[in-house]
Parts: sequence; C-alpha cells; structure tokens
Amino acid sequence: MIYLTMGLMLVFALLAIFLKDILLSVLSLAAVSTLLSIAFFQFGAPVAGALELSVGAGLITVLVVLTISFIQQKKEIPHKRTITWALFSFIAAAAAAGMFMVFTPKAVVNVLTESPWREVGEIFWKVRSFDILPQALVILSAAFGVLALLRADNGRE
Amino acid sequence: MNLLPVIFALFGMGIYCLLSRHNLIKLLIGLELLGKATTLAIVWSGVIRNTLSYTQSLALVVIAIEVMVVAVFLALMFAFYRQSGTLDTDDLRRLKG
Repeated sequence: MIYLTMGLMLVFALLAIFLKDILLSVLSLAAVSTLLSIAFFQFGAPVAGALELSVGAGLITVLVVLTISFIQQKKEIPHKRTITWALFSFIAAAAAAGMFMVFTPKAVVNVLTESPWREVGEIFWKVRSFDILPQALVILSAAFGVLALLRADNGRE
Repeated sequence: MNLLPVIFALFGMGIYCLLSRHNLIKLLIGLELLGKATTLAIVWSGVIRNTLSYTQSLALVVIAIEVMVVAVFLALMFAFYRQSGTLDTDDLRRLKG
C-alpha cells in the first residue's frame, strides 16, 4: 500500500512540474500533499498527517488558486528546454542521497509506532516550548510582511 | 521498506523545477516539492529511529513555516505582476540596477 501511495505521489509531482496548465499543476500539487498525508497516517503519524492535509492540500491550494484567479494568466509561456538542468538536478539529488546514506547511522526499522496525540502535544508545548515562541514570532513577522507588500500599492492607487 | 529513493526523487524534481522553469508559480511548486521532501524525510527519520512523536512536532513547525513561505512568495509575485504584467522570470532581469 505504501508503495502505491509513494508511486502515485511521484507521478503527481511530475505532472505538477510538466503540465502546461498552471491550474492543473497546482491541483496536482494538492494531490501530492494529500498522498503525503495518507503516507503519514500509514506511518502512524496522525498529527503531521492531519496538518499536512488541512494546510498543504487545503490552505496552500486555496491561496495559490485565489492568486491565479486574480492574475488571470493560466498558461505557462513556453521556453527552450535544456537538458543541462535535468542532469544537474539528477546529480545533485544523487549526491545528496549518497551523503545521506553514508552519514545516517544504522537504525532498526520500526514501522507503525504508536504515537498518541497527547504525547506529541507534550513534546510540542513542554520540551520544545523555548523555540516555539521565536518561531511564532517569525511567522507573525512574515504575516506583517505580506500585509505591507499588499498594502503599499493600494495606498498609491 | 526504504523511502530514501522517493525522498530524493522528490528533492531532485524540486531542484529541477526551480532551475528549469521560468514561471513564478512553477517556481513556487518547485519550492513546495522541496518542502514536502523535507517533511517526508523528517517523519521517516522518526519512523526508523522510533522517535515519531518528536519528529512529528518538528514536522508541524516545518509545515507552518512552509505556509508562510508560500504566503510571502505569493505576495511578492502579486506585487511583481502588478508592476510588470507578467509572471515570467526573464522579465525580472529588468529590475537589475
């Protein structure tokens, strides 16, 4: 089952890159997010799965589709394709995979571990309480940045 | 079951999309693919090290930051579109100097 999920995820990722229609590309990306959240549920990680499903497949898709509807440019302008970038990406990914495999310590595979929501919440709010606040501030500052960017031109008009 | 090939296939696709595409929304899709590969790697590392609760809490933060990256990217893209009327990255070169 997990292989089917992963295979479909790669197919939809390829579609997201190569489809000419931008809207279909974004919907393919939403499918990737949905399949990723299904994989998280299969791993026994329901908290990450639920957030990925609601945020990755829901909120991000809505934001991008809304922006596309404002912009009204539905098609990608065609450009000359170069094989160099494909080769470079393949080599970079293979090098990263090689480094990961060399430096990752050997571990016993233990799939479908039980992980109650309460345990994740305790780690999130108690063990990691020190870095959660700065991260919340970073997110807040990004939100103010978006507001400033969108407000600047409105004022001029 | 080894998910490393899937993780690095997603990672490679994200890099390829960022390097080869000229549309700003396609660049955003490339960034998203990189983020998804990272999230999958984090959760998968929790599965194999049996620290799933801790890695889930890390994945929550990564997903939240990913949304903010998307929001800022879309705002910048919208501002650029209002100025230039296009989403093609070749036109960004006019902003040089």
